[in-house]
Amino acid sequence: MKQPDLSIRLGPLNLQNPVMTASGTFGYGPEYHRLYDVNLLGGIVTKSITLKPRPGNPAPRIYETPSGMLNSIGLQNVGVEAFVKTKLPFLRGLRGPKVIVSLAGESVSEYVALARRLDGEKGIDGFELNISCPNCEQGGMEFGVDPRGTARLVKAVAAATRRPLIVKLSPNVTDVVAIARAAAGAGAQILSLINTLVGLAVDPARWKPRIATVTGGLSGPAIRPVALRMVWQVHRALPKIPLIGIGGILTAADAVEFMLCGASAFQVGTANYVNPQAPVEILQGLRTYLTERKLVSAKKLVGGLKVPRVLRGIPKVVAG
Amino acid sequence: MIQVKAPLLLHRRVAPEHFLMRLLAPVIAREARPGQFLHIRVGSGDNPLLRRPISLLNADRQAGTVDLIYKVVGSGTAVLAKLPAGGRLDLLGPLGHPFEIPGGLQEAFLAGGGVGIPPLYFLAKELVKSRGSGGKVKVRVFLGARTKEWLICGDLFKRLKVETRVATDDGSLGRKGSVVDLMKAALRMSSPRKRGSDSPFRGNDEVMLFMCGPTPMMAAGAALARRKGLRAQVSLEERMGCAMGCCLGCVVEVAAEPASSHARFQRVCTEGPVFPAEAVVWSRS
Ligand SMILES: Cc1cc2nc3c(=O)[nH]c(=O)nc-3n(C[C@H](O)[C@H](O)[C@H](O)COP(=O)(O)O)c2cc1C
Ligand code: FES
Repeated sequence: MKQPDLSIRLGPLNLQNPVMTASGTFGYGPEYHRLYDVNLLGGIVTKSITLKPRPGNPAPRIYETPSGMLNSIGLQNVGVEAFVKTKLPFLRGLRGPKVIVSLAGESVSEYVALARRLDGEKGIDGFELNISCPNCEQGGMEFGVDPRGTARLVKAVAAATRRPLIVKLSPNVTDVVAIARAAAGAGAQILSLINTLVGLAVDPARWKPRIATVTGGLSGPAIRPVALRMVWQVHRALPKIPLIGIGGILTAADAVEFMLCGASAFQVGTANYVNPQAPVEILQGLRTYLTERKLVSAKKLVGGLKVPRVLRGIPKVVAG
Repeated sequence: MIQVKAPLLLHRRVAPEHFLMRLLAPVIAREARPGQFLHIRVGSGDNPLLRRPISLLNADRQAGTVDLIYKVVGSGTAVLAKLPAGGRLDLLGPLGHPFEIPGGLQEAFLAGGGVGIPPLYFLAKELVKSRGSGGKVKVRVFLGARTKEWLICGDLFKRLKVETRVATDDGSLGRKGSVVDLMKAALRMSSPRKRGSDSPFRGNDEVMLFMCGPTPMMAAGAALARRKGLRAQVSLEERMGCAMGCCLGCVVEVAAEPASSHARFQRVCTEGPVFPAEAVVWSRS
């Protein structure tokens, strides 16, 4: 049988396959290139970059939890100038994956300055806005938890760049659809979701939090059901905007779940730590999955979830 | 550095809660240096999720095998302990910055406690093989354990025929006390003297202390070394995610280079696990 077509369109971006790596879990690419050819990937999202270098949070920064992990890295990164000088050359040399630079900042003007600074650099195929950052202008509240803050930020960045713009949604909100709608309305061409869920782990022997900043971001298989629910909700409400699913993907089957809920592509995060070959194994697994089911294209999966007729209206979240 | 599913040739208990593993992994055995570690997947599901970093005890290039000793400290190592010989284990490695052996080294002090001892055995073996400028490197080993039965690797050092002193908390083997007590006693009467210096070691590249063990032990050992002007390397431990330098989860605070704030934290998996003792900020622990 003919090989299934794995290519995917994400609005303005054409990916050779839907397998991307998630921001903060893959460095800037060369580390994992020592283990396999990262040119096989559909996309690479860099660690979030800020205007100035950031030292990050005190240690300990990570702790394993049931089927997941908490992290509080504090956006440690080399800053945009060192990124361009020392990290971008490797990414520029890649032929397969789309290179997405994740941007982070504490004010609208910081994001805008970053986008402007990188707009003319070769080797960047798009930006992903990490809006789960403390908004210092609004007393440290995350940009991404408020539709108006989100819209203001996205609008300003969209005006500062010609490159494809992905907005990465925070799950730490009551109504993810409202944020998604605000981002899409303000110029986001693609949405990715989800970032980490705020969590806390405690050492009962010492009465102390397990990580230095007390709370941290939960990732890994533990968050997958929440991520799937949010992808499904946003896809139902905004079927035209392409989505990238993120959250606890370890295997090809996990990735398929996201595509069925409406994601056109997906990002592999924590799984890189568990199994450094996870992205390529998922790619191979996806190919096998499609072949076995005689599906000619990965696009056939997108939004294919079969939902009982009575629930086809506006999705309501009801527990119990 | 590679990722392999390596056959587990041997797996046995060597002390309470301590297990030794021998794995067939020729590429790793060829590349491995003392102080380096492997990042090991425990189980195959998603709980426990993350790999566990475990220091190398030995690498046999001819046989293509590597040895490890680990201590059961939590859910991950508990799963590991149940794995029967004959199975396979998903290894990533060798990883990390190894111990550095200065070219002119003549005398090496190795101080270790508990599960920090295995990497020092690997180092001792290399030192015994290698030669400093003035002939063989003199290796002196100081080991600490709770009691006699908790001591690991004692027999291995004996077979290497290096001078080994032991301290136990209860005095059931060797001296009653700590590794640091042993070091204090030994340093009081130690060898190479340099004229015009307040300590025999100050500014001396021929003598070096290598430490691996519980943080309080290493902090005390580092303070002692600083007082004596003895240069020291320590091998640190921190929880790890990727072990490849990507997640920035494993950092420790090191003395900041002036003017470069982001060098304040260094990665135990990449710049470490071995650091110069004088760079480490011990205060947190
Ligand atoms: C250690 C670590 C660091 C992360 N750093 C970033 C980051 O810099 N920017 C960002 O947008 N997301 C960051 N994330 C979130 C991931 O990109 C991803 O959204 C999240 O981990 C959920 O996916 P997963 O369950 O597959 O890991 C980080 C996650 C981890 C575990
Ligand atoms: S464990 Fe990921 S950077 Fe060290």
